[in-house]
Amino acid sequence: MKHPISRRQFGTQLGATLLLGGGFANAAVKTPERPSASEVVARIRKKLAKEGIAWSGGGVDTFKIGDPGAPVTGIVSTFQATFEVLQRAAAAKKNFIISHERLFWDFIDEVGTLKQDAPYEVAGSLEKDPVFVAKRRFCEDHGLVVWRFHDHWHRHQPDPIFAGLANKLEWEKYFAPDGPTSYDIAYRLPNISLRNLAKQLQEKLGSRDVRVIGDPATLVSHVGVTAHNLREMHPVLLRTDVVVVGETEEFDVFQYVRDAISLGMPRPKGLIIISHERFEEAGMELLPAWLAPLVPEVPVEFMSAGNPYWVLPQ
Amino acid sequence: MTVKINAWQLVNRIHDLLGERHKEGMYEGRLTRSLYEPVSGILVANEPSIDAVRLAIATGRNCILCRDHPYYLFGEHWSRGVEAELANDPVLKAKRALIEDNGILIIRLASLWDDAWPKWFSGALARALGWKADADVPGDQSSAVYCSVPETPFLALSEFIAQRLGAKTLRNVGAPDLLVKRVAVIHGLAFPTLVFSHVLRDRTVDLIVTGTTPEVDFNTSYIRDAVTAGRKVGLMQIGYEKSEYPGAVEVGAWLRTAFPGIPVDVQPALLEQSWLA
Repeated sequence: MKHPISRRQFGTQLGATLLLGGGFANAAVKTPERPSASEVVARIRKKLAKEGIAWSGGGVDTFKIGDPGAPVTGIVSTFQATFEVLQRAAAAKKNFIISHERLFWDFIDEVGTLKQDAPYEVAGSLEKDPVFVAKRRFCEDHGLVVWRFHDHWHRHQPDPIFAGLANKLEWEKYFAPDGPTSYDIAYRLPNISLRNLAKQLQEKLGSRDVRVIGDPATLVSHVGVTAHNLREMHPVLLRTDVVVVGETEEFDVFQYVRDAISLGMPRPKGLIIISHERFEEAGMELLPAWLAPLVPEVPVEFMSAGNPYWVLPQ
Repeated sequence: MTVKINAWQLVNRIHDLLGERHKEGMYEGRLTRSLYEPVSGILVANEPSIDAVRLAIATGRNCILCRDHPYYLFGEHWSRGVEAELANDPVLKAKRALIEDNGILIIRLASLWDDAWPKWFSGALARALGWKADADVPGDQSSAVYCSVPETPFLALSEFIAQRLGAKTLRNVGAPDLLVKRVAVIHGLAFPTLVFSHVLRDRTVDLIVTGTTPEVDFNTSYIRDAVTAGRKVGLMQIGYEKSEYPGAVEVGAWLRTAFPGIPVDVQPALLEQSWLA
């Protein structure tokens, strides 16, 4: 596995010719010919193919709402197309939103294909839920097109989501390959107490809701960075001193780590939990540098979805 | 005098009293020892953690009655692949040895309580907060209870709940100055989004207080969008364990009544199990 790289290196390695910044918009607006959303996606697929990432059907990277044939007025890259991000995109006159995570909830994602995730369905429906209706109507009223870029964005090596996080944390130089998959990211930091490591994450990610399990004074060095659930996290938990994760379950992962510590196991010594949004957002911040050269006709900008949580002062 | 009862009799008596049986295939029921294991005493502990097992051993209570699974199998899709992944796990092996070497009988009942008395654990949480829940609506099988509270800004209510429950890591979504007069309380895991959609049908609800709920694909994003859509509402996650504890206390009291000859303890309230950086 390659070393995670900085934001600028990422764009350069993947063929970006423009640096991040406001220059995209000025260059693009002057060009009258605007591609459709589906044309933008076609260019993305072509570039991915050149980079060795074959397009796989049946995944989540599809249009979620809007007319794919609509001319694109501007592109917004975001971690999640929350209603608030959609409002800001519309205000900025950018009608094509590329979102890493879902537009809707409960595995509902594509309007009109609400049954796509049948195995997870629960009784009832959100189709007439007022929030669902309002969000859908807003998209329709403002001609917004939302496309998800999740699986194929993750397939880059290095995975831009993890590279973005490493960049934010300034951990690239500590990267220590730890396994064959994109979830086997680890870093060898100079010895640091769990408390100070958590503080570092809090400060660098601008997030107050950093939760920690473990003795604050415990010294750690080998830091795993992984995601999701106990099944997926388990190999990393066994190999590293402490694992940093964005959103995981309190009813199994927390309990497993606490038991490991109570038993005096050598690993894991701790768990640091940040929000899913803080964990992954930086990866979507990298997208404009990669995408802008493909769409010189229109501006591309990143919009933060923002950390959902606030916590009490300690 | 201690009454002699075995695991099978204990579980069946609970079923009889509730008029409900636990679901098969949900990792519930007797999880260790045999059906005929005598019960010398019960420790009620939502999480049958290493610490809880050690407490049971130290206090001579050979049966732990819990909500969660000792080997991290919560159930449904969350547990897919966990058992296989942890097959050779050193933590699980050590925990299993501690349980087996000390003859600890573990009985997990989780969905049973919610199926039999859907409002019990949420009501217990509301009572722990000093709130009175509305009377049950016949036929309502959801676990949410609704409470009218003195009008309080969201921030101040967070401070009150943090202090009352010792829950410093509670996480909030919504405007801190939101005035809260009516709260929906949902114990444990609030899931899926339809649970919140149902709650928001009551236009008077200003705040949902729950233990934990997923962030991105489900409920938290839904509440964020509801706020943007103009709904004046907040979400407070007080922590899974903190939200379940008042229910465990009430289960303990109920068991003492149901099984007067059997010693029943409830694991003392734990310090918050994670901390904020």
